[in-house]
Amino acid sequence: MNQRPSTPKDQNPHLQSLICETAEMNAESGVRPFLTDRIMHRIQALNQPEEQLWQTLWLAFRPVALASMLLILGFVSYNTFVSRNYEVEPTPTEIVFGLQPLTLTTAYSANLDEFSLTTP
Amino acid sequence: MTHIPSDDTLIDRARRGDQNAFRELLERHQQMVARTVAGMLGASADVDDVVQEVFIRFYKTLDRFRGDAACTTYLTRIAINASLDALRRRKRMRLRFVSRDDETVTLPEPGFHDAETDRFDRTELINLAMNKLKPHHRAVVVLRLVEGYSTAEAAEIMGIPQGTVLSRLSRATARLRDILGPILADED
Repeated sequence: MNQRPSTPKDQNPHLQSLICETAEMNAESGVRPFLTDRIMHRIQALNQPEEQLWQTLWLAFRPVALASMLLILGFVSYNTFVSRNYEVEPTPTEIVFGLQPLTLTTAYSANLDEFSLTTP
Repeated sequence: MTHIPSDDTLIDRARRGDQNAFRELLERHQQMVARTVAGMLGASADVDDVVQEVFIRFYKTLDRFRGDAACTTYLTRIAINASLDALRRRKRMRLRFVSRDDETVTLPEPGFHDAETDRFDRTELINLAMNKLKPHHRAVVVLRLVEGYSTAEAAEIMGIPQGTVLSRLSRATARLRDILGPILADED
């Protein structure tokens, strides 16, 4: 399509050549220098806001994230401390989440009152 | 021997964030896009802005490009649509800020043109004549006569039936022949 196109049937080749020539001249005079660089610069600018948004979000939520981490660590430490009192050795998951250790007796027992394995 | 990557390969790479691939596509097709936009808008300061807009739209829709059509066809479609948008904006601005008297464009009377008319004047006259065409007729002229697309391709790009392309082309060239009669007669 970059070559001069062939003239369609029933069209005046001279008219076509004048229009093509004019379009070429308009394109040459209408486009300012360094078009490629200017477009690439705009494209890079398009990509930047997303990165900036993530940075802003991270900055805004960093205190919340840090507080949450401390809170979680506090809970895990507390649960670990409490689980030392259990008679039955709890699994790591039970320690972290502060769950009562599951045994065959407790698993099949319908009575929630019997579910205490902690030493008084 | 250097291997020249195809448009599809470059588009694939650009999709994955390779900006050099997009730069290569840009350099490869910017002349064609500029010619299409300039054909639609004439000698105008808007041409540069619209060409930029075309490539920005192309970049934003890279993921949607499925490769059913050639990259050139896809870019031409964007270029025609962006140019039509620019012409609509121009019309709105004109209606708002320019009085009807200022809009009048004087075309040459028969006999105005003589052998002394240089290339620049001729270009001006073609631009004036093209400006007299309706935007959708101008688009068909650009696609068929400047870019050399077939009737079927032009119909696909514009999303209209082939019969409409043919009738628009016929009306547009008849109008151009009316306006540019003296030039065409002199140079034939």
